[in-house]
Amino acid sequence: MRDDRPRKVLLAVLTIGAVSGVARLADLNEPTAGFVYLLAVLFLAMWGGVVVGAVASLLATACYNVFFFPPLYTFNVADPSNWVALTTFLVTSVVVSRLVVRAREQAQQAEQRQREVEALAAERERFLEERAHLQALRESDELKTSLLRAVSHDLQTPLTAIALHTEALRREAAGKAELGDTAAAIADETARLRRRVDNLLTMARLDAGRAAPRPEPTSPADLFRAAGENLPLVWAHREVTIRVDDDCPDVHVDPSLALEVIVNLIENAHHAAPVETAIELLARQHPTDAEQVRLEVLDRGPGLAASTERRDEAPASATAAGDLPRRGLGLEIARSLAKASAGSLELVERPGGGTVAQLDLPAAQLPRAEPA
Amino acid sequence: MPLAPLILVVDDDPGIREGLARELRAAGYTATTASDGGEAFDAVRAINPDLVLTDLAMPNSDGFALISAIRGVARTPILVLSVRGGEPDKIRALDLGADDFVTKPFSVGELLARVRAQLRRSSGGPSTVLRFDDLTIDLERRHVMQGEREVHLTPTEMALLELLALNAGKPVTLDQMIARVWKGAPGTTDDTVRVHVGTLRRKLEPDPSRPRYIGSEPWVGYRFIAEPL
Repeated sequence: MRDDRPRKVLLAVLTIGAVSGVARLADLNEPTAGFVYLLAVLFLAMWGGVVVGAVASLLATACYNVFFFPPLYTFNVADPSNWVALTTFLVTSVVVSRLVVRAREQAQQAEQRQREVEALAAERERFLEERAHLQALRESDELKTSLLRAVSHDLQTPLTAIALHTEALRREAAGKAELGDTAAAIADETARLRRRVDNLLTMARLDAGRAAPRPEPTSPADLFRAAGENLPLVWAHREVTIRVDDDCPDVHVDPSLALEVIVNLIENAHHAAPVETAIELLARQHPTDAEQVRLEVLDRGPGLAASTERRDEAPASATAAGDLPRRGLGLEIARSLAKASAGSLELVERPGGGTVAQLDLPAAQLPRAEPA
Repeated sequence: MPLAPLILVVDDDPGIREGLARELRAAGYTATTASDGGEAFDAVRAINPDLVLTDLAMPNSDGFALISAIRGVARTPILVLSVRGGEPDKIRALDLGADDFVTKPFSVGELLARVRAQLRRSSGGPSTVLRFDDLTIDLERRHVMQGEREVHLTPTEMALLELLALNAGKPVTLDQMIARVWKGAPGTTDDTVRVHVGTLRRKLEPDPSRPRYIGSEPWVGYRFIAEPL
C-alpha cells in the first residue's frame, strides 16, 4: 500500500500535465479550464487518496496559473483578481479532494462492516446448526447410555437368576444321569449366553464412547488363569497346557477386554478341536517387535481351510448349523475387542494341522526391579 | 454338630435374592434375606449374622451406606456383589470396610469359596506360622518354604508376602500395599508394587505360567489365592 504511493503521485503529476496540454491545445477559456482541472483533481483524489489529492490540487493550481492566467508560461499573475480565482481554485480543489477521499473511506468502511455483519451472520448460522447437531448427538448419547444400562440390567439380572435356579435343578438331578446332563447343559449354555451378552454390551459401550479401555500392566499368566476360571468346563473336559516364557513381559491392556478376547479364542478352539487333543496357551515376546507380546491359542482342529469350506456347505446337522454362526460371532467379538485393546488378532494355519490364533498386544513398560 | 453360620443376603431383585439364599442353604448355611440397605441394617442389629452378602446398587439405601452403617457397630465380614467394570465401586466398598467382592456373573462355586474364606478368616485367631498347600510362611523367623526348597526374599518381598498371606482369600488394594509395605514412601507408585510382586512371584511360584499363590485383581490389587490348611 505504502509502496505504490510514489507511483500514484507520479501518475497524478502526469495526469495533470496531460490535462494541461489537452486544455491548452483545445484553447479552453479560463473558467472552463478551471472546471476541467477540478474534475481531474476530483478523480485523482478518489482514486489515489488524500496525499495524491493534495499533490494534484497544488500541481493543478500551479499549472492553471502557468498555462491560463497572463502572463502565460510564468508563475506571475498580472491581474490581482486572478489571485482570488487561483486561491479559490486551490481551496476548492483541496476541500473537494478531501471530501471525496472521506466519502470513499466511509464507503469502504461501510462495505467492510457489511461484510463483517454478513460473516457474523454466517457464523451464527453455523453455530446454531452445530448446537442443534450437538444437542441431537447428546440426546442420542443419553438415549444410548440409558438404553445400555437398561438392557444390561434387564438381560443380566434374569440370566443370573437362571444360573442360580439351574444350580438348584442340578442338585435335584443328583443321581438321575439324563436330567443331570440336561441341567449341566442349561448351565453351560446360560454361562455362554451371559458371556455373549456381556461381550456385546462391552462392545456397545466402547462404541457409544460410554466406556474407554482402561489399560494397566497385566501378566499373561494372570490372564490365562482368569480364562480358566471363566471356562471351568473347558478345563474339566480337556487338557489345557499353559506356557509363559520367563522373559515374557507383561502386557499393557484393559485386563477385562484382553480376558474376553482370550476366552472367546479358547471357546473357539474348544468347539473346533476334538476333546482328546490339547489346547495350548502360549505367551512370549513378539518375534520381531520388542514393544509387543504375542499370546497364542493353538488347537488341533480342522484348521482354517476346513472351516472356510464348511461355511459354504449346507449344514449337515443341527450341531454344525449351531456351530458356525457361534464361532463366527465369537471371532468377530475377539477381533473387535483386540482392536479396542490396541492389539491385533491373526488366525494362521498350524503346522501339523489345526489353527493358531495369534493375539499381539502392547508390552507394558515397567521400571526395572531393584537388585535383590 | 456346630451351629450353621448365619448369612444375611441383601439384594433388591427377588429372583437373585431367593436364589442366593437357597444355594447358601443347600451348602449348609442358614440364610436370611433383606431387600434394601435399611432393612438389612435392622436385621444386622437384630440377628447379628456371621456374614453379610450384599449387592451394591439398590434403590433406597444402597450397599455403600449399608457397609458404613455396619462398620459403625460390628466387624461382621461383608461380601459385596459387584458388576464388571465396577472397579471404582469395588475399591470404594473395600475402603469403606467390605472384606471382599464377587463380580457378576459369578458361579455358585466361586461364591461359596469366597464365603468359606471369609468365615474362616473371621474365626481363625492370629498365628505366626501360615500354612498353605506346599507353602509355609514363618512370620517370626521370616522363613519361607515352598515344597522342599527355601525361598529367599528381600525384606520388601517378605513384607508383601506377609500382608497378602495374612489376608489370604481377601483382595488387598494397591493403595493398602503402598501404605503398609512402603509406609506410603513418596515416589512409590502402582508400578513399584507390580514390579516387586513380579519378583516375589518368580521366587515363590513353582510354575510362573500357572500362579498358585498370588493372583491379581484387575484395577484393584492382588489376592492370595491359595487356601490355608
